[in-house]
Amino acid sequence: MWMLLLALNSADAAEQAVTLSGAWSGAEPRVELGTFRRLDSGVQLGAMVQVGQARGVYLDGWPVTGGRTRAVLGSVTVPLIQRGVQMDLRLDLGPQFLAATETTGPHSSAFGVRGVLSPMATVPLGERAALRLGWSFKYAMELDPVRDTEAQAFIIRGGVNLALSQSVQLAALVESGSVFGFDGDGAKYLNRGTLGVRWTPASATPWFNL
Amino acid sequence: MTVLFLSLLAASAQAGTESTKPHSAFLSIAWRGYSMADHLSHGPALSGGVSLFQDQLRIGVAATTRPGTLNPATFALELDEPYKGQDTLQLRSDGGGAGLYIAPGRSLSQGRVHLSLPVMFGRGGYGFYLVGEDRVTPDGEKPSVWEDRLLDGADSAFGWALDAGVQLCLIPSTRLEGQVRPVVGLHYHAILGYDATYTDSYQGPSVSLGIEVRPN
Repeated sequence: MWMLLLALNSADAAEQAVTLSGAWSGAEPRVELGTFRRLDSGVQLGAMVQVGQARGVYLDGWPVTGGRTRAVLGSVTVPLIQRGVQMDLRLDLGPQFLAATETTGPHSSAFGVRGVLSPMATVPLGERAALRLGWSFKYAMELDPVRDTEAQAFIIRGGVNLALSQSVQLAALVESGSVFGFDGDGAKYLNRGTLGVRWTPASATPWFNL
Repeated sequence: MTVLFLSLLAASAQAGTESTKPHSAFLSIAWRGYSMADHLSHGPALSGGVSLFQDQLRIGVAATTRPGTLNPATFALELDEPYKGQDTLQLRSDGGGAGLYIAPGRSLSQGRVHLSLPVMFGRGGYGFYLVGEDRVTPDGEKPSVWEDRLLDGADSAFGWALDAGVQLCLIPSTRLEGQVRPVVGLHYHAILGYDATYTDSYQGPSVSLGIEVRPN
């Protein structure tokens, strides 16, 4: 993963970003480090590492109230419409890991995969800010110790990106949506707030659709 | 469904390069208030896809949800045999539907209002579940096992989901040229053939209030 992060950042320095964010949710507060590269076509490729606390997640349908979560995700963002208002389709995909220290179930660790498909609109609010609106469909499957749907979720999303300078942006995002998994024994709802900083060292304009 | 959605959005992307721009894409997020299964509830809803022929036809995907976590309504279940010393359990309910979305529409009032008739058809379901301390089962089994036992194997029911209604979109004359719009709707939502132990009907009217984005 770190090789991928380095590879994405070591190439042409014209359109690159490094992101650091913290996300709060009752179930899983986490931090994320990411790196992104924008190709000439407008397609954005990225890689992210997430590390979180397991406070209310589920392992084979059993509640986990203590432990650590990790995920390594690849990201592709395809621009669909660019007419002042921009619309993109983003796919995040990768493995996820859970190490439980407090659980009522018989298992202490889990491995699975996660995919999140997110159509998002970026609405400019002047030259230094943009409104972000959209939604996500998330599907996560636990593969070990039991193969089962961990979560399928429809989540609405809204946020604001602010350009603090030409190369530094602040991003805030709020997400809310229903979750279903483990035949009803899994999570039922997600509320999450994310605050992040984006460093775009060589972009001529703020990178708002990130 | 995902493949279809991606195909539609790809078509939209191609359309976006045309100078006349008769086609675009749209995204909508909304909050719904429901009157289903003899109670009031609420939850998020969403849709997205392509907007064709100057927004006279929208095709995409949509989803509606009625989360139990956000809705305090409980449903009393009388038991033949006590569960943890209780003869009556208070259950919560959740569910939703997702599917293909088609919305014919037209502009009114010199383009300041857009009226559409959205229809979603897909799959959906609603269920009833143990809540709070009742989720700690007497024998240590998962709650879903006991929900099946207590509700005769039909704690939830799934089926074809139909959601149809009328939607009014106000197009403001802002510098964003009406690309971000408030939208209100009146809908009827149903799971066809719904038959769970607690109730044999989970359908009813709903109202929605939301925001949609459609690049011009």
